[in-house]
Amino acid sequence: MLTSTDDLVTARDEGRKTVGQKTEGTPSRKVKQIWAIGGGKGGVGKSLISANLAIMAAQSGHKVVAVDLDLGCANLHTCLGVDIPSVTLSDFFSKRVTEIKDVLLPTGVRGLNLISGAQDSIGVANLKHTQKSKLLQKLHELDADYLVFDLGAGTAYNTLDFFLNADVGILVLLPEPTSIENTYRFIKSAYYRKLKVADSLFEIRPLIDMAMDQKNPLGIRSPADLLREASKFSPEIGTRLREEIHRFRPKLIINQTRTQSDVDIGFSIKSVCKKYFGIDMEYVGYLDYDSAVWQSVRRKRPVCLEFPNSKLASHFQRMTRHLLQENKQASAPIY
Amino acid sequence: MFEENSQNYYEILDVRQDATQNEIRQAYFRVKAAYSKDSAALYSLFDEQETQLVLERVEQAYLVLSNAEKRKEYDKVHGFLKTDELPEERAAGGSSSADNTFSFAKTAERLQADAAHQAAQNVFGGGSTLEDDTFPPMSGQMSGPAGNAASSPASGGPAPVPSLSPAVSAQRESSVQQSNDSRMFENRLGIVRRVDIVKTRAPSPELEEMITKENEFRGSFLRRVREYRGITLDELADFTKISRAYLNCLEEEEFESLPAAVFVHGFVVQAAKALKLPHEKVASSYMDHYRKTFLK
Repeated sequence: MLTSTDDLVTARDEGRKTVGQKTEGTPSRKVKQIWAIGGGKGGVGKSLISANLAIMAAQSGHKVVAVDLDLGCANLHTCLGVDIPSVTLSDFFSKRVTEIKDVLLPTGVRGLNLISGAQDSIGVANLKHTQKSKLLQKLHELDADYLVFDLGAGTAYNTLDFFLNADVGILVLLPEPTSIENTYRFIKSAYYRKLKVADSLFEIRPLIDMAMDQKNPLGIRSPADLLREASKFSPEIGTRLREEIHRFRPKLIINQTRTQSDVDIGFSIKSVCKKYFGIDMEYVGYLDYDSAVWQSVRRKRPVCLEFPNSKLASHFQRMTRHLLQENKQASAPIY
Repeated sequence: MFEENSQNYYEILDVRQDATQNEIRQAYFRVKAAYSKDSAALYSLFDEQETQLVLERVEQAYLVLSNAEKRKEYDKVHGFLKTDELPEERAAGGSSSADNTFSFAKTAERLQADAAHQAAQNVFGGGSTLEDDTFPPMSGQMSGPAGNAASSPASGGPAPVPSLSPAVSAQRESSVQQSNDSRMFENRLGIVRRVDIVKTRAPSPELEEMITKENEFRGSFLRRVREYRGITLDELADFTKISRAYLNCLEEEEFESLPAAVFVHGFVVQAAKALKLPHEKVASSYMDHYRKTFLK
């Protein structure tokens, strides 16, 4: 079984750049922008947020495909109110269908289709590198304006690579220590994963590997230590490392806020991440704890469609508008 | 900390170099909250020692950037200033004294606080319990992610979510957690304030008598009372929303490091109220000494 390092080397040698890097340069890509919703901890609301952001984007007049990449734990179809998907990603992996567009499912929302991860075969979570690369490539070729990736919990390489492959990476967390710690772990993992696949940092790849091991002999405990060691190696490498770090700019959504200090924690996390990782995060918004959520989940209906006049729906609308607006303004990918 | 030695004061407070005094103040409170002892945001990333280091640098940064003259000097030395004017001075239409600079920022802040207070009055018909304060509440300043565009530090586009309006936050009431601390209360705006930070301690009749008899209230006296009351400088800073650095300057009577007299007066009033001293008497006496030694 290939190790992750072998996977990366293979990907690089074959000239494929779909692992940990974007493919906006490839001529076959049609999709304008990819949003990935991740976050480390399970149950924080990633599927819920993916579903409702996708709905809002479609209702703003765009062609959207929501993709359930929580392989082995698919929930997106339920959040979108698609009861039993007739075709799913497993059909694509097993080659029962040949084209990715053959697994597109209507959602009842005009402009929004779903690629479900349901009805999956056992072991689908352990996607091979080649399968992952092919999937990403095919997804990029879909005839859509926006793709919304609903990612799984945890920090498996597949999850990290889907997150890093997107143009916009959104982290969802609850204002609780367990969720915050898992988010930091996710950021750390994605951060080092991104640095490890960067071509410009090829020479210090062993150093980055070492940094990923907390108990390494060089005493590299934090990104600051890594930067110091890299700069010792060569100031130019230090500069390149800074540039790669600067490119990593995930966004933040706090879910289930109950108090003002829950809302404010987004600013604190942004500040702490800047000081610890050296990265600029954008605090996109927050969602109040709302009983409308569990009610709509029970009904297996999207919260924005069940309660379109709720405060929650208006928050989703605002966040979507902001993300769409940013895409219009930016000529280059955000990270 | 990432590149701690190369961060300038603006980067430490995470503000743009052309930030207004109000934005600097908000950023200061924001960063302090992020590194406070009970901040959940620190969990698993920073230990106590590192946090303390950050807080020291934040205080240093604020001490300079909140003082118009010191900031100008700092900007000159670091090559930030293109003209001799600070952002507020440019906005006010020409160079002005440090006093006017602070007054401009203060007026804007005050108007915002008054507007929020009035809105609360309108919604709750006078039932609002916002304290009568010289300085607006911190939570109100940090309303909602990205707040308003003017106060959003270092972020590119327009604010995606509007500020937390009183009417909207009133809807939080039913699901808001109530603090177990009986010294906290949550007014209908969802803003939690401490009403009393004087800790219970065996009373010292001598000190109580001294407070009653004292006529000349100096910085050292403020410190003695604060220590007697068992309040740390950080706690007092957190309660009054006055920076730790300024409170220290008040106690040490380092008048040159404090802003304009009108602010010093406000600081003394707030500190005296928090320490349960007769605030008018204390402020009057303190300012007499201030005027005699500093303004002449």
